[in-house]
Amino acid sequence: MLFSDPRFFGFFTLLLVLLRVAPTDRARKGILTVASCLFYAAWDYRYPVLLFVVAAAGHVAAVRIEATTDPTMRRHWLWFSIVTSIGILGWFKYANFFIATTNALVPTADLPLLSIILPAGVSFYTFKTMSYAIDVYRGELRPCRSLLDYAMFATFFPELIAGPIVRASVFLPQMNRHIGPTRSRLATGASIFLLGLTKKWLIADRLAMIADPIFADPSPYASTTIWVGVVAYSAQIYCDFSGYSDMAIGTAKMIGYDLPRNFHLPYLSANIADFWRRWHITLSTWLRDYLYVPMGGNRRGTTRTYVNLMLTMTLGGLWHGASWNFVAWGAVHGAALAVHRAWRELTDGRFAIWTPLATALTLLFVVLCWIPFRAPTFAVTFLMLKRCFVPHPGTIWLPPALGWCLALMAAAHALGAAFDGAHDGASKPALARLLRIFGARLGRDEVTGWWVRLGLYPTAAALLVVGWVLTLFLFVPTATQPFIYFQF
Amino acid sequence: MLASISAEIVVRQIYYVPWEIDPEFGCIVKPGTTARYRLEGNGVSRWTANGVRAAAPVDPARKPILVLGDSFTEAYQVSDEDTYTRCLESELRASAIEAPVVNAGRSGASPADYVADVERNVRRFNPRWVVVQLNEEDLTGDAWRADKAHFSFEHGRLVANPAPPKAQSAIARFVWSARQRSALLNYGIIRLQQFARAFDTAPPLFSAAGPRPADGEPCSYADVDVAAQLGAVATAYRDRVTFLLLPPFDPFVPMRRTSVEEAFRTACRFHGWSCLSLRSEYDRFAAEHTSPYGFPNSGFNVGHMNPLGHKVAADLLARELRRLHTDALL
Repeated sequence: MLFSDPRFFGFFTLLLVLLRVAPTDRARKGILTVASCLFYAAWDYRYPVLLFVVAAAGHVAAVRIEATTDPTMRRHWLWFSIVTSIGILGWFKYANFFIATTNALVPTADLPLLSIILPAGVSFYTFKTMSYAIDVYRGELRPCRSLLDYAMFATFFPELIAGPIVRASVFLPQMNRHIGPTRSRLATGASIFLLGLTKKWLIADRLAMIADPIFADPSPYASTTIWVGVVAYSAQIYCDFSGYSDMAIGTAKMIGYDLPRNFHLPYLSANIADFWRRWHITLSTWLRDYLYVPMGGNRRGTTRTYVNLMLTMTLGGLWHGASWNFVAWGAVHGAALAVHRAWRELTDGRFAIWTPLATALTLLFVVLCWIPFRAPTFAVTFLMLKRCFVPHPGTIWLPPALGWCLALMAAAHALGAAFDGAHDGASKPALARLLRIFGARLGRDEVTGWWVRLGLYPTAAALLVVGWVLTLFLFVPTATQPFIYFQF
Repeated sequence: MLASISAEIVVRQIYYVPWEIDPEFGCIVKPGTTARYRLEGNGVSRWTANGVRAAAPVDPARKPILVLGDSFTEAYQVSDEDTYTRCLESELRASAIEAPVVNAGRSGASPADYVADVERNVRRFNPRWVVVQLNEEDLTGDAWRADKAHFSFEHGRLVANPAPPKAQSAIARFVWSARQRSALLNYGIIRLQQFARAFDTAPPLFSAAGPRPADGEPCSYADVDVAAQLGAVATAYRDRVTFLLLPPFDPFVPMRRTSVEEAFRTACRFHGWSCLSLRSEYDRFAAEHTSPYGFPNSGFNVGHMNPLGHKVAADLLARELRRLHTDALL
């Protein structure tokens, strides 16, 4: 059941009604846990069993770690949680990848591929429960005393399938809230959800119609068209994934919880390190805190720092999917981070590239890196990279949809950058004045940052909302594509 | 209300094709309409009586060339001056052949319609020659669907059955009439139908996930006789017919023919019919990295014929009709 599936709207409306009429917070939590399990079971009725195993292992480990002071036992329980989570992830996600790789390397092996289905969201909830046990081990968090609270954390459906990866330290402290829909939560949550839905339906699904055929078989296309496909995919993956994150954040907000921000104008990054502070923030911070830092981070010398960066990003690439293309994508990003770090240390900050140029170069690098990420094989990757740089005749296809999608994105990014300026105080008065003309005002939310509230002229706001919904209804592609990150 | 009016104005620029029911021709684009269609391609078309795509009616006394076909001939996607029927008329005029070309293409039409409607077509248009545009679906599944005009074999003979009458409730009639007044409502209902179709293909809830069962063979057309269908059309129009086949285009193997095409060629050769296939020009498309199908706003090589495809089809037809004229057949 996708967020953009009409059935989801029925499910969610019913859930909100039940949360509203439930007499106690405990009852509301129970309803939410059951609803989350049903949401997950809607994908496949067997999935919740796996979720239960992963969640139970994490909780048992956390409770045992807390209960003992023996460092060896604490370590053993931590490893129990890690091995269970990684084992399940490895089996379901990577077993066939390793078999296929073995078969390719050792032709005589001829191992049969296993009939395994990748459970939706397994990469996300294994990371979530692992971080819970690790935080308890580190003494940064106490295990959840209420099983109901923990069950709700482990199964919380808005972020279960494709993130944001919510850490227990962010979610569990919110457990004492009175949950359920309120007018203010519905208004903010619904507008964030609608924004995400727009990104997904209006832009990502439209761009998929451009990128998919080009990546599926780039051979008949001219260099120009290859660039069209690459740019379309770059915009698609951003709108698809950040759209999903917005919908998850909006859904959680309507229920009464705050999820962390997952994207922050990543295509305006001035360097690659900045990009990873803005793209899939919950994953990059997870990798930093639970992989890069434990490996030694930057504390064990220059060479080891570069190795750690490379390893972290390569494993991060592998996390995205069981394919050497993802490994290559992660490795290239790791190398870029290492080069950026080396450059910074070498110049000691004395030589800075002009920010717009640095932003353009970073964007170009990120866009080119999406080729191995999206291309089905290395052969397609090399063909597309070659055509990007060596002019090649072929079919030229310049879809107008790409133009207006990019224009919409550019406008949204410009607005986002203005909000950032407002956040810094630089452009706040000017922006606020501009918004007042349209009857809107600038607000701030602790999770989603700056936003605009259309509150002064209800007619204008209603016109905007009706126009927005009509636009979505009339012009979005009817065949909704699954979210890209569901496959991870 | 303001939003609806704005939406109506916007939708009319993108999709405005009002229909009406003609007692003889059924559902046709309202005469006198300038239709707009920008969902695939970018076409502005003018329509006159009898569902004919033209700015003004053609006098039957001039004995026009009648072009029958489906949505590829109707061609909402391209503007009037780019349709192959208009290009053909210009090319014939340039060759001193004064013959108006009547575009009577209709979405979803198939050879069964052309045979079932022969008496009406001859009476109303009085054609000197008929061009029948076909695609592969016409010769396989399309002409055999019982919910519209269709072929069937009766006593070993191919028979064209007219479309079964459809009973419409008062509410349906009211909605249909309202749809013709409001482009927003009309397009909204089309969108709802599209969403409903997409919803039908959504995976079921609470079922075991896994690879979805492969779609079976769409249908077996082993028993469909291509020659018999072409023969029925040719006989209906007294052999004064040119068949134009629009086969699928594969840029990698542009000249590889499909089995339906082979049957089409064999039948044409055997019976000596005037037959053309756009395939003969596909090596040109491949060499120039273009395709006769698809638009910038839909995709390369998908969907309907683009202006280039129409131009090439018109060239091909013009050559054939000049030959027929030289042979004193036209």
